[in-house]
Order: sequence, then structure tokens, then C-alpha cells
Amino acid sequence: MGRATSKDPQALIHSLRSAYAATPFSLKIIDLYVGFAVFSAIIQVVYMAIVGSFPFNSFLSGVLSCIGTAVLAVCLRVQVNKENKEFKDLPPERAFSDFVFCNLVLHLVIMNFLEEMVKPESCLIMSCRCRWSSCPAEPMGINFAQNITTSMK
Amino acid sequence: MLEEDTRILSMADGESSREATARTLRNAFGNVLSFFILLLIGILAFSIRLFSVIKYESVIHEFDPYFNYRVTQFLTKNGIYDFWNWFDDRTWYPLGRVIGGTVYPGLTLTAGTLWWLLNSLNIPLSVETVCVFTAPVFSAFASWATYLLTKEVKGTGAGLTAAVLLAMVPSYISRSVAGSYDNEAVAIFALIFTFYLYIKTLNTGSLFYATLNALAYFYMVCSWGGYTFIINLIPMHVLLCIVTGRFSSRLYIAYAPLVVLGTLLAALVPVVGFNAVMTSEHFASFLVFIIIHVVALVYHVKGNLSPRMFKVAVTLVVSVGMVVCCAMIAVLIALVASSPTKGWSGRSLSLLDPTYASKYIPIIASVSEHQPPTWPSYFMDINVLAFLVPAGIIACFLPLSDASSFVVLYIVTSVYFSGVMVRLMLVLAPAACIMSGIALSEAFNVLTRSVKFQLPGSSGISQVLLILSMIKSGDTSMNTDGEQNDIAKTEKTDETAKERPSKKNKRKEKEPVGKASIRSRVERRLLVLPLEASVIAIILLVLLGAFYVVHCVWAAAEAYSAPSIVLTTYSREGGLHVFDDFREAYAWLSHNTEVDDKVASWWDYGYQTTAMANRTVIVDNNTWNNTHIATVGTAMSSPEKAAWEIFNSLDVKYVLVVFGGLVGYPSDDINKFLWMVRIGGGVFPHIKEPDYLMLNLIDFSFLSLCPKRDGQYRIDSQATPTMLNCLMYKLSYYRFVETDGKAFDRVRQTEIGKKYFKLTHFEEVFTTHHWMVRIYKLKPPKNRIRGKTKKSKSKASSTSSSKRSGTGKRNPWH
Repeated sequence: MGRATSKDPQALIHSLRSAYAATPFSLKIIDLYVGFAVFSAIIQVVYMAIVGSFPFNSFLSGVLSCIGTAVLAVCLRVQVNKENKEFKDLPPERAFSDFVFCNLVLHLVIMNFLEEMVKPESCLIMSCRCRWSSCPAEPMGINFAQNITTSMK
Repeated sequence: MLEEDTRILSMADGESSREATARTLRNAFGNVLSFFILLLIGILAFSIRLFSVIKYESVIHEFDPYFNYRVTQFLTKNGIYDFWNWFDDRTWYPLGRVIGGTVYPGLTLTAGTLWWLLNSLNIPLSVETVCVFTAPVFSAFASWATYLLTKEVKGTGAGLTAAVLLAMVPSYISRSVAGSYDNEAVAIFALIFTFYLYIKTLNTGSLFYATLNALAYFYMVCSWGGYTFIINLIPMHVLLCIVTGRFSSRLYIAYAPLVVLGTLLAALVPVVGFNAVMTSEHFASFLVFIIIHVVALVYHVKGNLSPRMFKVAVTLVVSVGMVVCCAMIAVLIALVASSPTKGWSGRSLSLLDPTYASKYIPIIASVSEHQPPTWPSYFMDINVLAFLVPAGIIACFLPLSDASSFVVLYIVTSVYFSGVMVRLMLVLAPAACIMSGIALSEAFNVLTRSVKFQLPGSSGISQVLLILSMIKSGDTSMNTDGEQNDIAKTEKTDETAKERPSKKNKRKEKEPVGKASIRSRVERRLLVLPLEASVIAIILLVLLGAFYVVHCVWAAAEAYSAPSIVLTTYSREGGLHVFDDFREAYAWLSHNTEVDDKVASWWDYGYQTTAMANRTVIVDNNTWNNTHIATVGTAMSSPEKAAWEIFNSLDVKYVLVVFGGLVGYPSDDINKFLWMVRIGGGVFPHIKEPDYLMLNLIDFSFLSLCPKRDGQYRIDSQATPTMLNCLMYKLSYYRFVETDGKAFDRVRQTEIGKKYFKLTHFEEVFTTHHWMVRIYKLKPPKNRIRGKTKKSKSKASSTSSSKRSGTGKRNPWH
């Protein structure tokens, strides 16, 4: 093993590429979609790390919508994959309609969650339940407007 | 495999078409029959819970249901938006409580929807009626859900048996009799249904069911805090599947969307909110979410590469992956460590460490349903199922599928949790029913088959054919879509185990499975018990079932139907005597006091007072503020004057105590007094528990039996002076000697210590018929000596504060 370390990764990449070249075009599109979703999730996490997670629900819904989209697309990919023997009976139309249904539910929930805020009074009273206090201090500029809208609510 | 069997059959028989039509007919008949059986099961589940209505009346029971009833009333009157924003100023005076943000809304929303639906259909039922009958209706749903779940695991027969067992399991009846309008009533249905949808998704691999699963999980989160059980059990099962080499893409579809959707949906419920991603109870699911992705990726890559290249990839990835894993774990540990109590809430910690609550949180320990159960309570609550469960576990291993491994995991974990808290016996009950259903139906399957074979008239080839067809029909009844795959898979591994490149230990695991399946099939072919033995066994099993039914009906009728707000006893002549003191007292309060008067009582009676008397209370059964409860506990265990000052500072007008000494009602305030002292002393150190305990040397033999710290709360002549002078003693036993001249307490079985005393700061305003509830009014400060009392009060407070400054904690009511 140790002898061929310089060669093996290249061979590995080569065989991976050749194996991937055999996948159908439609699956490649799904892969691209998954990759995009994961990429945007990563961007949001990096943004959170730099700027702060103040409207925590919007951060959560953003990241989870990306992850959810990716997961559902992976499920679709698994189901429509011809090589997968487990889903021989499942027609791709059915798989796609399930995918659309699940996405609808997911994004309805996310739209609902985007605007939800912890009520100020419950924050006061349920101090043990409220996690706002543990939120990192956020810079004024970006979240100031959101702060004001929250407090006005 | 099925096709193979049919082919053999057709070759042997030659009349396959007729056979097929007969089979479809039989199937159709079976479906209709099982539909009617399910209908009957639903009726059974509903009607066995009506004993409380028939024997007593259609009332809401106990404590928590009154709060739920009140919330439902508010919901139906004011609508959903006001409900979410409801700030309740009738409880926790002067703090109040945000009901909309702190309550699990599932039950009230369900009942409110039911009520709205019925009213829009012009069926004018009152809110109370709907609330009373919500629990029985949902227990019918729960038994249907059990049927579905068990059917997914082991086939229709087991499903029907499990549904019957669940319809009348005493543990579940205890929480869902008509009138017991509590979260658990709908939560158990939601729990079972979520599990069913998970198994269904696992068996079919359909994204549609995965979505439904997430929605069912949402309903569960809405209705009960026990949802953490689901969100920990399912990851455990996924992990188990991965570790035992049962990973499949169906598993991925069942789990990954559930975590994402479920987390989002759980965060939508106000009472959970960001806890869904912030507390450790949920971390397990995220960890497994990451693991399943890694595993899925590995399987995917493995499928695409040659074994040699895969090895190279593994060595590459492992070296890189270790670093990433270490980083992830470090981040997780930092997250957990940064949150208080290491991210675990008290209740969950007390689940992991059963002694946690009694050590640190007396308020959790004080609730009787949070105590560990005793052995008799197992027999009382699940009865003969306790003996059938092991047989069911064995049946689940023949053959082991994903679904049956889930059920095994479910019963193992729930047995542990039920051992920690009596209340979680409720989670165990469905698992026990499923297991026993599987065991019973398998047993009947074997026994009736062997009876059928040995009936006269069948011999030779026809018998072989019969056996074959039996095997086949057994398979059809047992196999659902997913399991079929599994059996096929195990057979395949058996044939091709040598060819497939897999790790040694994995093969080791797989081979016994394959062998076991062969052995079980051989056994099934040969398993014909002697006729007499099987007939006797059938009779014994039926007897066992009959015993279970008798016990359940007894439990439903006698043990669990009492509403605890109306009590009954049978006198020696057989006459029925009704104690309706609670409602008498609450009615008195609502008729004779001002609307804004505050009533102080121990927290047990808070919900009932707000719901029935509509008066503001200081503390109630939602024990979210320990300090507030400790204040009331301190007042109850203080001498009269100090108690008056505390109550007066809280604006209290009336004090309500529950006293059972006259009629022998054991769960009265004197028996709960231990917790008042303990909780009060936990916050205000000037209340010391030993002051109330009797540590006399004469009773040394008795004392050594119980732990010294618990000691004895005595109210007889040997009681400590602190005890005899505290408010709770005085309010309970004021004028008690006038009843029989001896002041004999029938609960404690003694004569009380101090019989003749007068109240200086309180006056008795109402005592119910059987003295069970006594209401006192705080006397207004006297005009004549007002200046004097003020002076002395300020002096007292200054001295007490100086005294207390040494102890660190200050009484905020001075």
C-alpha cells in the first residue's frame, strides 16, 4: 500500500470519474442540484459564523431549507436510479410526485418559520426556555433593522 | 419466492386457476372480516372507557384536565389567534403565565377542532362533552394505529391481536377514561401512528410516507413532551441498522427527511421553539443524521468502485475523515458544554439518572407519577402481557427484519424508561401490546395449524400439499412488502455469501441469520405438535386471554374510573356514599368571593380553582417557577403571623386547604406537607426540615426502618412545637375537636396533638360537608393597633433580614 500512494489517488480519481461518466444525464442534473443546495447551505453557515446568528429562525430556516432540499433530491435520485434494485416497482412519475409533495410541505413550513419570532413576554417569563440570551452579540449595522421590527411587534 | 411456491403448487395440482380464485375470495373475505373486527375493536376501546361516565357522571377528572378544559374553552370562545397570544393573569399571581407559548397545544387544538366540526354539522355539543369524550375516541384511533404498526411488522393476525390488547390495556385506560382529558390521551395515538409511518416508510421506501411521518411527528410534538422519546428512539434504530449492516436506501429515505422536516416542524411549536436544535435531547438525531450521510456515501462509492480501488479510497478518506470527525466532535462538545445543565433539561436528566430528581429537584420528585414504579404496578398495568412479551421478542427474531428490530428496540427502551417513572408505563403499554400480539398470534398460528393437520381425513400427498400451501399462506400472511425483500435477501446471502466481498465479521453475522431462517423454515415444515397438546395449549391461551379481559374490565370499572374530584365509598350496608366536597368548595368560592380575589392553596389545586371557581391563584400545577411555589410552601409551614405577612404581600384574600382527617381521605395537605417544607426550605433556608420531624428515641425501632432524613411527620402529642404552630396544622385542625370530642384523625390514625387553639390572623369562612376543603379568609389588620403592628412588623422584618443575610438567600416578600 505504502509503495503506491502516489499512484493510487490518481487511479482512484480516474476510476471514480469513469464510474461517474456512466451515470445517466438526468441523475447528473439531480447531482448538480444537490451540490448547489449543499453549497448554499455552506455559504449560509459561513455567513452565520462571520456575522452572527441573530434572527436565529431565519438562519435555521435558510440552512434547513437547503439541507432539506438536498436530502429530498437525494431521495429522488435513489428512487429513480435504474440500478437500484430496491425501487424496481416504483415508477419515476410516482417518485417525482412524492418529491414535489414533500418539497411543498417543507417550504410551507419554512415560510411559516421565517417570520416566527419568540414573543417578548414569553422571553421575559420563560427565562429558562428562552435562548436569546445565549445568542452571540451581533453587530449593529446588519441586524439593527430586524431588531427594531422585533421590538415593535 | 412466492411465485416459486405457486409454481410448485400448480405443477402438483394442476388446478391453479381455481386455487387462485379461491384465494382471492378468501383474501376478500379476510379483509372484510378484519375490517369488521377493527370496527368492533374501536367500539370496545371507546366503550370500556365509559365506566366513569356511567358510574359517576360526565365530568372532567383530576387536575391537569381542568386546565386543558379551561384552555379549550378559551380557544373555542376567542379563536386560535387569541389563543396563541393568551396571557393568563388568573394564575401565578402576580407573574401571570403566557399560556399560548408554554402549553403543548395538540390536545386543545384537537378538541377545539372536533367541537367546531360538530357544531358546524349542527350537532350542538358543549365543549365539556367534547373534552370528556376526546380521550376514548382517540384510544380507538390508537388501537387502529397499533393494528397498522403490528401489521407492518408481523402481518394481519398479529395486528388484530395487538389492537385488541391495546384497546383494553389498563395502563392506557388509566390515562384515557372518559373525562381524563390529558395530553397523553392523544399523544399515545400520535406516538404509535408516528412509529407506524416510520416502519411503513422503511418498508416501502416511499417519500410520501416519509412526509406523512414528519407530519405525524409534528402532531406528537404538539401534544406531548414525550416526543423526545421518538426523536431518540428512531435514531437509535437507524444506528442499530447501520451497525448490523442493514443499511439500505429505504432507511435513508425513512430517516433523513424526517430529521429535517421534523426539526423544522418541532421548532414551529412555541413551547419547543429553538429547543428543537438547542438541547441535547435532540442532538442524537443530528449526530445520526451525519452518520447516515457518511454511510450512504460510503455505500454509494462502494457500489461504483472495484474492491481494490475502494480499499484505496478508504485509506485516503479515513485519514482525512478522522480530522474532520475530531473537529465535529469538538464543536459538539463545546456546544453542549456551553449550555447550562449540559444541555439536558431536568426531566430528561432524571430519566438517565433516576436519582437525579430526588437529589436536585424536589418539585419533580414530589409528583407521585414521577416516582419509580413498584412490581405490583407492572402487574396491575400490563397484567399478563408482562409474561407474553419475552415470547413476542423471540418471535420478532424469526426472522429479524428492520421492522421487527425496531419493535424490539422500542420495548427494550420503554421497559427501561418505565422503570424510572411510573408515568412512562404509558409508553411501555403499546410496546407490550404489540409484542404480546405477535406472540399470541404466532402461538395460535402454530397450534391451530397442528390441529388442522391432524384432523382425520387428510393423508399422503394431500397432506404434503396442505403443508406446502400452509407454508405459502403463512408466508403471505407474514410478509408485507418490505419483509418479503428481507427474506429474499437472507436467502440470497445464504447462497452467495461466499461470493460477496464483505468483511469477516459481517459475514459472521449474516451466516447465522441465513441458517436461522433455513432452520425456521424447516421447523415450520415439521412443526406439528401432538393434537392433545395443541388443543390444551389453545385452551390455556384462551383462558389467559380471558383472565386478561376480566382484569382489564375490573381495572376500567373499579380502579381507574374515579374522577378524584367526586369520591365515592360503599357503606357497610352496601349503600353508595358520595363525597362532592371539592365542587362544593369551588362553587362557594365562585359565588361568595369577589372576581379579583386571590386564593392561595398548595399547587395541586391551582388548576381546579382557576377552572371551576374562576379565581386567581398564586401557584398551579404547571410548576414552572420553583421560587413561587417555595413561597407558598414557606407560608404554609410558617407560624400564623409570618404566613399572614407572606400571604398579604401576595394580595391573597383566601386560603384553601384540603383536609382528609374527618373522612379518611389520604391525599390531603397534611400528607403533602413534607413537600411543602422541603420545597420551601430549598429556597428559603429558615424553613428547616428537621424542625418538623419527630426524632423521638422511644420509637427508635420504627425510625430505623425508614431513612433518618425522611423521619416522621407527626401531628399527635409527640409532634414538635414548630409543627403544631405552623399554618398548615392550624388551618387543617381548627375546630376539629368539635366534631367528635376527641379530635381523632382517621388518616394518620391518631389523636391530634393540639386540640384547642384560636386563629389570630385568619378566620374560617367555609368548610364543606365532610370537612374535606376548608377555606379561610385573611383577617384585615386591626385599625386600633395598626401603627403598632406596622412598627413591630418593620422591626421583625429588619431582624429577619439581618438574620437571613448570613444564609445568603433573601425572602423577597419583605
